[in-house]
Amino acid sequence: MTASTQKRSKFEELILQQQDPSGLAVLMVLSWISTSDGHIDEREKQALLSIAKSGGHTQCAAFILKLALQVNIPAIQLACEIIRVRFAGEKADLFMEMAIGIAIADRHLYPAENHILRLLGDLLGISKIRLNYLFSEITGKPLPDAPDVSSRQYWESKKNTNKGTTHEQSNSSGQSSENAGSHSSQGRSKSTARPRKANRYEEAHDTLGIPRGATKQEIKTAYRRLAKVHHPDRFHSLGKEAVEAAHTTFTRIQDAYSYLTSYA
Amino acid sequence: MRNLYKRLNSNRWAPQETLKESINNCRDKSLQQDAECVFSNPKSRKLYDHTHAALTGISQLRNGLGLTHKELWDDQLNAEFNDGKTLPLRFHRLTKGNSINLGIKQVVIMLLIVFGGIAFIPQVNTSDSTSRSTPAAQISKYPPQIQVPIKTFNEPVATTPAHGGILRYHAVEAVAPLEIKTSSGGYYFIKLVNATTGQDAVELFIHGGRTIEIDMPLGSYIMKYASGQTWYGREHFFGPNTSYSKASSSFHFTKDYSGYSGYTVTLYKVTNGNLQTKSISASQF
Repeated sequence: MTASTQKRSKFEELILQQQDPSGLAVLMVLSWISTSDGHIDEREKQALLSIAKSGGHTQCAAFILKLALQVNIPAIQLACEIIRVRFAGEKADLFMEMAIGIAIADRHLYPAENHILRLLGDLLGISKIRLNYLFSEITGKPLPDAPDVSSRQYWESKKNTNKGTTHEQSNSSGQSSENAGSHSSQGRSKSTARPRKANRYEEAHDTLGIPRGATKQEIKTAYRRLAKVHHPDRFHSLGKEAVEAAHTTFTRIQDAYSYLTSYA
Repeated sequence: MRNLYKRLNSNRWAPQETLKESINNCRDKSLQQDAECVFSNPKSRKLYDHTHAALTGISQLRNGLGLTHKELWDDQLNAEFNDGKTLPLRFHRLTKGNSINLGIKQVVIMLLIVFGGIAFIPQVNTSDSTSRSTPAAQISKYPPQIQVPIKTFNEPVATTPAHGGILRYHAVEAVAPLEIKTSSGGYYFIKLVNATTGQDAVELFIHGGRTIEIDMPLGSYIMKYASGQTWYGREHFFGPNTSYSKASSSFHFTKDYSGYSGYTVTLYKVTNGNLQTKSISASQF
């Protein structure tokens, strides 16, 4: 008997109890993306909960979130292995689009999220060109290089742009639409400290990836493009969790669009 | 991006004061300035820390998943964050079972007493189709000399399935180990039937003399098997010479805090065995 007594982790037990383990694998990886900036806001939490609920995993959602926050490598690696097996080939692009949608759900692409997207790209055999294409389909620009947050240049330039954008935001114009592509530290305070209502205008623009003061036509074009990419119907082949993830992204886009068309 | 903690001989969990000391002791002036800038502000330290954690994890994942030389990864990042840690791949081993969790205490060894021998006696042919249901134990009592030509059984011989050929009918994940050992000569067609629902759960084909390890879903199962020398396909099994048997006790695949429990079944005559089988008819199979 080839008895290697390697104890199974709780996550492995959970995976083995599934008829199709890819649902939990998706939940694990999406939770990792959401928590990789070290902080999870109420909206992200709700989105993950509804993704978990869609596959009947409400009970283990909190546990998986905890693993994600700990960056539990054995669990994440197992999830990656499952994703590589289940979403190879034509499903790879779809999975990537869904992952990008979740990564920029808070309208910022943090460096950690950027690196995770690259890992998933390599995992699924998506080329750099293809990843850039998929990313620009969603955000309007290719995947930016992850900024070097270990350098003082990065932080000094942040300080300067912060001054600039704070001023410009009061005029409700300017180039803080860059946010969708690159992280700015001011983004974090935006979602926590500042009242949300005052931000809705900027948020809606960031969600649609358009500059402040975009014309109605620009808003419409951006909305149509995004709605097409994130339409939940596209994701059925990836399972319930993916459909639900796309649904949360889709709803966010719709909200932004209806806000801008009715108030802006 | 550089691994500031590694370069400062510090770590992510270092309190601010200790970290400050490491920064002050740093001889590389440029690195010192960078570290000061990043770590002096809790907000920037937090962002650096999370990026650091992600990159450390990603390096390890890339090692484990064989993705260290891919287009979307960076040699510089690899040099900074890859500390060589690797986890072996697990998914295949988990699902293909191969007794990952077979602690000795979790495996109940079941040895089989076969009444009258399973007796692969090619000479004993029977005269009509009803005799296919004659219990094997009785067949084996006939002296080999009694040879009756087959009249009613003219089915073509089918290709013998490969050893370990398996068909699963259950919907739930197979998790508990089951090992089956057989004696040489002939082939075994084994059927595991759900004891509660009576539905077939797993069918497998074993070449005599070989051993097989599979995973079973949790629950209670009844084991039946057909054995013989020549395979005539799923409908006729081993033709009129098939011996059909059933293990008298059922098998319970369970899970407890320490893992899944399963069985090792030895399908040949064992003195003092703890599992008995009885012959059954083809219709009972």
